[in-house]
Amino acid sequence: MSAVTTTSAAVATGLATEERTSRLGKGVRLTGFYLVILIIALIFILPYLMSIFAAFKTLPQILAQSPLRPPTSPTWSNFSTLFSQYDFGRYLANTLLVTVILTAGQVTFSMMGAYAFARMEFPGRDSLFWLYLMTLMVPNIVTLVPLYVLFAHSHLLNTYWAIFLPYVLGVPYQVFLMRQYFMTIPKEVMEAARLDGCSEGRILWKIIVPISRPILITATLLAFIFGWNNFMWPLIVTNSNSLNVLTVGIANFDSNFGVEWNLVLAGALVALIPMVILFAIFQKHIVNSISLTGINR
Amino acid sequence: MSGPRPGRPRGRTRRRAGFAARVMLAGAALTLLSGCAGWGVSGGSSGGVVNLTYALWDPHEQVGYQQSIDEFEKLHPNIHVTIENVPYGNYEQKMIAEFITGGAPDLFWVNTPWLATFIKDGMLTNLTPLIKANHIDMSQYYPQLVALHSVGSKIYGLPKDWDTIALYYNKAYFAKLHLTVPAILNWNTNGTGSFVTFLKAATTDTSGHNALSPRFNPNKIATYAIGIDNDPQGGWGDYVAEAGGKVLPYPGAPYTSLATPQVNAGITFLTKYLTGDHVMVPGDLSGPNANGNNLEQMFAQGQVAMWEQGDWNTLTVKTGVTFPVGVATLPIGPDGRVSVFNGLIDGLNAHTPYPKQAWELEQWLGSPQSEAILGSGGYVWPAIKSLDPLFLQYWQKQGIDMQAFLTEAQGKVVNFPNSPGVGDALTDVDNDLGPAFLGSEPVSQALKTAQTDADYVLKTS
Repeated sequence: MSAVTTTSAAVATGLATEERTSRLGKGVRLTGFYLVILIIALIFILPYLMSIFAAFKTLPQILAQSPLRPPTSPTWSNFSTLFSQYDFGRYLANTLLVTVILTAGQVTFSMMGAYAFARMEFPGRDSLFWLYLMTLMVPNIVTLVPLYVLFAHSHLLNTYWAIFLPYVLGVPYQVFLMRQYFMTIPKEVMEAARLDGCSEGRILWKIIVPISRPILITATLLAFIFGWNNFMWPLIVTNSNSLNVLTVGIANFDSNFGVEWNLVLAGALVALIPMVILFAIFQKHIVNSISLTGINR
Repeated sequence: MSGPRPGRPRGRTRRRAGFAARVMLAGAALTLLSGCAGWGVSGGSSGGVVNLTYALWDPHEQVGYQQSIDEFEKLHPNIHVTIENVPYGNYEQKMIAEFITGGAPDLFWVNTPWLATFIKDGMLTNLTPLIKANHIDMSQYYPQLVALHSVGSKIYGLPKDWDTIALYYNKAYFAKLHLTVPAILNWNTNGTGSFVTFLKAATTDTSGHNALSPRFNPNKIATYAIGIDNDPQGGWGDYVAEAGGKVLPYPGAPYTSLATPQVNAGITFLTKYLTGDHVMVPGDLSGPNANGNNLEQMFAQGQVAMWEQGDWNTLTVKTGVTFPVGVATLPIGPDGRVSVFNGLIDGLNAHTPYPKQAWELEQWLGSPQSEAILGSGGYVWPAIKSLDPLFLQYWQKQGIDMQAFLTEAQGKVVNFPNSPGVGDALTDVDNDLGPAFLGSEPVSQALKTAQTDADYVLKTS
């Protein structure tokens, strides 16, 4: 009996030790995991943090201090210089204007195209869709020169039109995104509407749009972020500083006579703030967009 | 089953009307916007007023140029000028693209590395007939600047500013060491001379010992005496000239003269002697390929006492550091004290629809009135010799004595290399000289490679 008791006690002790070791191992693994996550998070966050710190520092402070050191006496002078001396208010307004037009047009026309490709019957529909989708594989830089020449011959260079027209009539990515979503809507819904005498336009606006809000919000956000951050095309097609968007306005500080980093980084923060606000408001939809598309543009 | 329902047509009509109203409203809004600037085609002339565009790349100087152009517009009420500030990194490519598509500015800044290519490609107007017809006194300008922007008897721009290279130094640091920066310092190609001795005295380790002391620890340097770029203008170009070397055998040459003993001596002085003596910031600390990108920050942080650079950095130095700054002349080499000399012109678009008006603007920007505005505002050294004191006085009031730059301009100078394709060729040269500055390749080998690469670019440009 006592031998059995001793054996049981030994087994229990062994199990407890094993459990402790296992708990300890799990704890070490978890600590290691969080440490790795923390390091990765820091790698992503630090550049933003350094830019934000620098936006509130003077040029001597930026040059002389560690970029990781927060500003001891934050200054707003960089921002006042941007808006008083360099017309950043206009750049902000230009960016907002072209981004809103680009977003509204891109989402509307992409939606119409996607609906046609998803739920309208016409000869060669699928072939046309895949042909259109193939253009998604062509890098933007390839079409840059032909587009520029096209706009030059149309006498549209150096106008607001030039900044948003290439993107306003829909893009393959958005069409693809919405088509895939529309395909999940049961055909019967549209057939019932047609039987009720609904035109295709009304089906789209009155039935498809209300039940496709998640994908439309996602598409809107993606278009807005693209429009807001677009740099190369506005740089190429505009000459006048009165037409500059924020990204180009910031790049204008690039001079071979010395760069005022305090203004560059304050300008970058001005451009970043609306995007951060947008993210804070619509973060659920942005995360949703990643799960819907598998892509974060 | 689906016969028309009572009231349905009416409802549809109302909705259609609503939709139509929205479309009309949107159309009206767009039409209204189309009337605003930026929606129509820009440029050209309207109501007898000619709209000229003037391109440059510096947001700070833009302020000064706007002041000058405001005065110009008062004198020429029928000409309106819009300044376009283009990022420097994209400037050359953007100008070329705009010439190809016919939308180039009427007048635009031209930097010397692109000058000969722009002339060769027919982008710039030969101003010589206009200069003669308008009796412009070219002797008012520095003659080297006129030569820099000429091909034979053809002049492609009225000089409007100039720059030389000198040594910005940290006055507080030298005061702490009880050292005065001498007005005259010499160097020899064997690594000796008062310049080297002075730099050794000005280099200190973390224990406070200078490089002349036997207790100096070269592995723990707190402050290097000098920072010099791997650059043909603000860096090695001056030492090569002072050793009697030339990047190009003559202006417009389709090949370089890099693999010569003189060029080798100038670069070896930096890479072997100053670097070997631990008085110059080593190539790997100076920046990628020893390009000097880190030197501005190192100077501001007190890690380098003297920063060799062109006068265009004065605003950055003034606003970027917290200590008082002095400027010293370059040391004197075997061939004397020689600075690389450069300047900008306004290129007059050879295809502008308004050549008369663009010429008026060119004349104004090269006139004593305009150069006085830019000089007295501290933006640039005026190309008109008699106006130099204006710039000097401006910076004296700001606490920086710029006399060293002027002394060099009035002394022996060598023009920035000028030949078709020289901008790209010099980029190759810098890339090829990087290993020599980093100590991984002998100077002679680096120069051979540089000459081969640069010659290919020049011959094919």
